[in-house]
Amino acid sequence: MLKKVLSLILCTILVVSMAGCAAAENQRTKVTIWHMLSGVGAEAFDQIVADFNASQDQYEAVAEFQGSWYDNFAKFKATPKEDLPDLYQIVVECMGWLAESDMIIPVQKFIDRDGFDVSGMQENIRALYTLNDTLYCMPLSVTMLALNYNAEVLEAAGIDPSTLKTVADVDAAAKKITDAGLCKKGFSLINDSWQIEEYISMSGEKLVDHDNGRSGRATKCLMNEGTAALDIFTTFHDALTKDYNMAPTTGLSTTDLGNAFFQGDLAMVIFSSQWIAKQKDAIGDRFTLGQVAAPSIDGSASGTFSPGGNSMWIVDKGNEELSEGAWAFLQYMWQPEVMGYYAAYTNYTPVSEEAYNSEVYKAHRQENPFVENIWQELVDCDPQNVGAVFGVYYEFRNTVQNAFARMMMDESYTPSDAVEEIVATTNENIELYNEANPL
Amino acid sequence: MRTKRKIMEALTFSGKLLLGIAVIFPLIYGFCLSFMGMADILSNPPVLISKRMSLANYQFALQRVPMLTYFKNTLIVCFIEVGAQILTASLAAYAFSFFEFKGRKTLFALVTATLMIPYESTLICNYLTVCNLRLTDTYLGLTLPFLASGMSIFLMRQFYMTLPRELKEAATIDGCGDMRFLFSIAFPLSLPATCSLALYRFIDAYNQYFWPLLVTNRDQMRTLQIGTGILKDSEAANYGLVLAAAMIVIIPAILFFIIGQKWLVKGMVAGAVKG
Amino acid sequence: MKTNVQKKRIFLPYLLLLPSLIILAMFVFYPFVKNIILSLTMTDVQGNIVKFVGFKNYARLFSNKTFLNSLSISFRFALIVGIPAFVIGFALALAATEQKRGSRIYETMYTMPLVIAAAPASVIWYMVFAPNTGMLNYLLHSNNAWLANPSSAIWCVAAVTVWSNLGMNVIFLLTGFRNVPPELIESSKIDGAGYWTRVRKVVVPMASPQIFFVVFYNIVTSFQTFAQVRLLTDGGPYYSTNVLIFQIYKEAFYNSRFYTACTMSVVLFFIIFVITRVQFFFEKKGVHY
Repeated sequence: MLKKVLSLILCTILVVSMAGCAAAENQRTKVTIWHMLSGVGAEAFDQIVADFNASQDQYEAVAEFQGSWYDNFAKFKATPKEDLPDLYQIVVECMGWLAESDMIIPVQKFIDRDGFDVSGMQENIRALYTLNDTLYCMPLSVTMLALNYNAEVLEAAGIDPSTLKTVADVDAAAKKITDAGLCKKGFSLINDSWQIEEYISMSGEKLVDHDNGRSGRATKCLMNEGTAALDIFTTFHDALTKDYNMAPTTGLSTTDLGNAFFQGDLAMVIFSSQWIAKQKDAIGDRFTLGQVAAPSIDGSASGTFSPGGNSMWIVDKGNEELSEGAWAFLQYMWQPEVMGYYAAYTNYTPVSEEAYNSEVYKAHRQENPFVENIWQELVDCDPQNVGAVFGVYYEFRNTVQNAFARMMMDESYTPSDAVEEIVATTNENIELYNEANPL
Repeated sequence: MRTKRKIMEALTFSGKLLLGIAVIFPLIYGFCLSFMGMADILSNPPVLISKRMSLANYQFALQRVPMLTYFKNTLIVCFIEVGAQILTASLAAYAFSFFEFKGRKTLFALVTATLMIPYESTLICNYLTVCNLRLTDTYLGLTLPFLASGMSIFLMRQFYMTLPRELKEAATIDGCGDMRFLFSIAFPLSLPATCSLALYRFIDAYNQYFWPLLVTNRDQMRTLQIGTGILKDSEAANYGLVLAAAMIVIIPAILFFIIGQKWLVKGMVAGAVKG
Repeated sequence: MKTNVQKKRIFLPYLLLLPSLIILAMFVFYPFVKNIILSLTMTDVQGNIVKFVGFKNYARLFSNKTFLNSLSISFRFALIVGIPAFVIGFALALAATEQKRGSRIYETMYTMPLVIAAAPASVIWYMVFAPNTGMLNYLLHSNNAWLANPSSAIWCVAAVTVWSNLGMNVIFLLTGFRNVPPELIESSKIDGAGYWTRVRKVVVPMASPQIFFVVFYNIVTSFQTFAQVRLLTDGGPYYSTNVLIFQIYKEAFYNSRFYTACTMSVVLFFIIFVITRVQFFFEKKGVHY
């Protein structure tokens, strides 16, 4: 009888202590992060998350891949508050919508409260993510528009890449290369609306009114009011429809043109520095990759390119503990060694000078000297020239890409037609957006 | 004479076989390429066999994404959906074909109407319903909208309509109840049709992409198609990897099909005779 | 006075239908009704109704170039998928009807596309159509970018859809063909009917339920082809594969314009409804049970 009672007490103690242990184990607050990174980006990010979890025991970050940014963003918008993540990583194009919504907490609030030092952040990147003096999110990845080239081919042709300053220069180089039979095709531009926007940034003109949507809500598209858009379209149309160059046709397959470049059939291609650099395996030993800043249209532009990339947003779930956890992660992430590691692993460009000078990134720079060119390009970016902010980005991109592709394929559809169509469609979309989403 | 016939037979057989190879050629092509690195995939002219073939892509696919968990989830979801649909569809089809009742025509018209409502247009609304029921990241949430299907009811009814009314009348005279008739006579007779339906719905459930993507956030609950989706979205430039993932998704399905098809065909031939 | 048994009998059919009807009501009819309601409003990006606008959405839609293009593409697509899918399926099923030694090998081959999901299938076919290194170019000794050319892109997507549907078509047609009572075949042989006459006069009528179903299925589902479009061409190049369902998806999920997506869904529903009515009319005339 005594034995039974004793064993019962013992059992109870065991159970309670196990439960206690389990409870202690689960004391960590779970911080959910939705992201759109994949491939090397996901690997690097997962490592950072693991390191963050190992470095402290108050929070446990969990990273969840949610698909490409447009799939992901639609889901984010439709999800009820309780099911939202605590941190949301998304591309800069979504900033317009997010900043207006009540779904996020600007990181400025935490920065001010804690006096957190983000002075190392590149001015232009800070400007990109700031509206009304408020920094909305923490930048994670940055990519710049680059001229990617086949180092051996250019060397054989006796061309110094740093002299290729305008599209005309690149075109001339392309002709030289193909005339000498060094490569099947000269150069191309991957059809991605982002690049057109970059060139418009460079021209100093605005994409939409109200100061590119930063001083107020955009109400119309300004592409046909200046000359930049028309110049861009015409220049590339004339250059790329030449038979020694490749004309980009569809917006979907950056892959086809990319593959042509990786196979060694295309000598130079203008695109995101990160996208090309991360595919070094596809190049294999065929040639060495080189990168310089992308050429300007004709050298007369007054501005610079604008950084592209993605960033981390703190989601407002009305739960202070979770937002603190999110903020803790961002603070961890901001450390130079961590950001340096991320940039080195993924081939994105670092966002702060300290990250650029971190040990791990220094090693990366030695292996890939061309990243210095891209860094310089970022440093040279004028904060005044940062990209536009407005709510209908996806359709805008689609329209631009389709118009651009059609212009390349259809001689009866002139660059001027293309620009007009883009403006007309975008204005209609902006109107509908503003009507359906009153402030 | 006999030789001539034998030659004709051999020729017809080879012809039909070649047709078959033509049909599955894309699969063979994808299979071969899945072992190659980008360097070989991009070679011109294209090659089916290369010296540098390896399992690297498969290793990477299996390590990078928890394929086995996805596989388990996919199987569970498929079995739930197929089982539920067979059940609900048989009951409904039985009602529609063997009973006269008020509103029969209207109700059936409603059921067929569901076939015309595009699946994509119900997605967001259903997602919100599932969220409100707090069923995200659960097997129930993954399967709930698909526990019944107008298509299944339609197909089962097609079959039940071919069963003679006299059969039921005879059974009723013999004292057989309605439900007993269904379970002991009508349903067993319908097995070949049911198997075709089950196979077809299984494939449908296996192939679902967008719904699981919406309803699951946690990696633990995701399905195979999403696993492929992850790789497809990112590794477009390392196409061998994408193909390897595609193969990982396809091969179990093919094996299942080859094994199950034997039974399916047997059932088709056996149940073909009426009465 | 009805007996208890008789009363139970009256309720039985309704009970049998209940589970299906509940699910269908919640997950098909309710969204459908919501779609109609939303098509008469403007909604914000989260789907909340902002205001009622009556039929303005429809008016705007029918003067919208993109929508009209999607409509015409969808119809064209239905034809270039429906006809080849049925014809090829029919031919393959005929080829496989007779069961001889080894026939199961090619029968399995013909029906295999059934188990291949649209995603892996599209991924593979993407390589087949690849510009420099794809199998198709190699076989034709050409160098076209099939998916990048507006005039050929839709044929590529159609080809993948036809291929994917083959499995279903062959299985169902085979069931029909094999269901033909052997006595009928024998007696027609005795009557001196040739192979094709036999097919026309005996096999086709006897397999009419399956034939009817296959034709119907191919056409209706072609309006709902989504995965292949999404994975092969994303609606391009230059909207040449932008079938209606894909435009609906883009409106709802990328542009967050649910009200437009709902309006289009209603239109799509009407189209399919009309087609189905036509199909049923032909069923009454042509199908023997």
